[in-house]
Amino acid sequence: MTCAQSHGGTGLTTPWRRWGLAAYACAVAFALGIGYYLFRMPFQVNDNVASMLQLRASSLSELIEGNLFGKAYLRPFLWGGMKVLFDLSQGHYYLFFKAFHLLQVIALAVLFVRMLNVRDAASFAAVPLACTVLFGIHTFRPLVIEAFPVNMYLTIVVCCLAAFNLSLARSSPVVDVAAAVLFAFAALTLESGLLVWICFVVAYLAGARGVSRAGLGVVSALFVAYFVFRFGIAHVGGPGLMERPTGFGFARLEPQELVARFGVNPWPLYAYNIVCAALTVLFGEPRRGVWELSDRLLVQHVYHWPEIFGVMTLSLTSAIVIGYSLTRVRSWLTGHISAPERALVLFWVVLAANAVMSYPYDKDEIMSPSGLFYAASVYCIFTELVVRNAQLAINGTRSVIVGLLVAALAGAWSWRAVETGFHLHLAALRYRGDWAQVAGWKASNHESQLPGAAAFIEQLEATGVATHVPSPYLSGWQWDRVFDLRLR
Amino acid sequence: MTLRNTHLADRVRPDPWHPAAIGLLVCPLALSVLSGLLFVGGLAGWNPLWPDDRPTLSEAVALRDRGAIVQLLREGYSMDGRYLVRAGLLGPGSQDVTPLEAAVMIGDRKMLRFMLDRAGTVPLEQRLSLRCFAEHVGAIGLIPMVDPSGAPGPCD
Repeated sequence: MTCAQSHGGTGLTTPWRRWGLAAYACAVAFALGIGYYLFRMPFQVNDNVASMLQLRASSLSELIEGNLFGKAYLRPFLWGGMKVLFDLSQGHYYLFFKAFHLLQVIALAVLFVRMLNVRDAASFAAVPLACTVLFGIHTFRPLVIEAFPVNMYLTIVVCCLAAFNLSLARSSPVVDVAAAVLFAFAALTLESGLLVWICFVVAYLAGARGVSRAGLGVVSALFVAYFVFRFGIAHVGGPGLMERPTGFGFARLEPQELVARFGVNPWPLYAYNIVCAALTVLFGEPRRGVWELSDRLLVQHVYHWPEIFGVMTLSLTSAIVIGYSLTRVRSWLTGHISAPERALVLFWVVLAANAVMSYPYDKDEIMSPSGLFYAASVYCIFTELVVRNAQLAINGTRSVIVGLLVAALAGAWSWRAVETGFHLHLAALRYRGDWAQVAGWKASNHESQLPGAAAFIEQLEATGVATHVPSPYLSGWQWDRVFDLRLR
Repeated sequence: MTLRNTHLADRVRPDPWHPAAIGLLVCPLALSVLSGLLFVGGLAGWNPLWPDDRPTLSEAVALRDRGAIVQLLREGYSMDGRYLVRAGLLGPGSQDVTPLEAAVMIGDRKMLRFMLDRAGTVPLEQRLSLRCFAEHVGAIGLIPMVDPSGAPGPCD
């Protein structure tokens, strides 16, 4: 049996409601756990303060217009959305933006569970594991650690989930309009918002017809229009080698080094970035294009066990995902994609598209939509595992062994989810330290010269430094011996 | 492509109490419950992961916690005072050191510079004392920072 077959179609009966609600409660509890840390984390200084000063000094129309005809990036709604929220906050920046961040995480949790379509006890059993993967995978962490002051990468992940959920809805003109609006918003917020189109197309091809053929046609027309506008009208172009540093081999190369090395022919670098972006989701190595763990193990002979443990957990899970997919790929190619398997198929397509979008540079947050559908794939496969075991009636010693192996993997992912909390705690500590040195930031950033900037920064600084963030090392526990707490 | 709607689970009743299902469920579900409790407890003032355990100024230096350093200085901690550093932060035993001595002991140039900037003008006598302390703990590389004169000091 496959995960294609493991979902019972019991409809809106009492068990469906009970287990469905339990699944929502489980995912929202995880989201609230993230919220515990978010509300204890000061604003970050780098990127965020400059953004807030720009939001403060510019009007909505200036921000949208300026980012509609900019260079390298087409992100008018990123700035427009942040400006709307900034003005709505009415000076209560910390409370407002933290609450918005938490709302996004809760929306992620709710839409994720809705996509899973939990119907009975057996399908619920894999939900907590899927949540630990969702919140424990390294591509998720930047979505909650960073905010400028809104994390728009998280917004795009929520948009991808919303797209898939729209595809699963009952088809209607309202759904079609919502699909078009969602795509336009996502595509003009960040480049990875184009993945929303992929979600609609793959869901449609896999049989989810919430968005009608006409609706998909409109979204596809908008997709084409995006490229026509970007390259033919606004001449925004794409990011070049000078935009950001990126990893190559065992080192991180600065833009000048990238130009010196790949300026004549950047295609080898682009191909490298695409391959590395896909590998990082599946194996956690390389990270941001740098083969850090391999360097430590093979060159430096440094064995940092929590890091090795994390990569092994992800790699073992990916081996299961790859192995299962290989057994199903022939069926998929002949057009047989069942409802629960859509997320698994979508994962592979989004992974490929997401990796292609990473061609100029690798970042974990760019690959976060792939991480999301990776978690959904794990749900699909482990639900099947549980049902298959019930079907094959594995019992006695074998069932206990299978149970222990599954428990070990679930425990390992739980460990990684706890690790996410530690990363948030350490980020809070780092951000408060940055506020202690904000004078250096002011000296090197021209935004600090904007009218009224000094008083505004002083207001943020007072909150930043005063935030109580206890060092986890004060207790004397060496947390970095049991968790991979390297900041990347 | 077509959608196949085969629901084997309709025919094969899954066993939610199978060891595989329990193995899958226990750890992540427990973590989910704890996460929810953490948030609700946090709202009610219960912060097991965020204890109200404040460091002394010297401990903040030992932990390289710049935010805590600035906060404690604003609260009136003195750069000249000696503060207890609990065991495990600067060595196996607890220590009673000044913030500048703590910065010397961790051997971190950036942290020492950060502390010297906040100390303002350090009196000559204190500089010489700090220089001798650096020699005593083997932080030779930091001596030019604490005593730019470079003159040999009368350290016993």
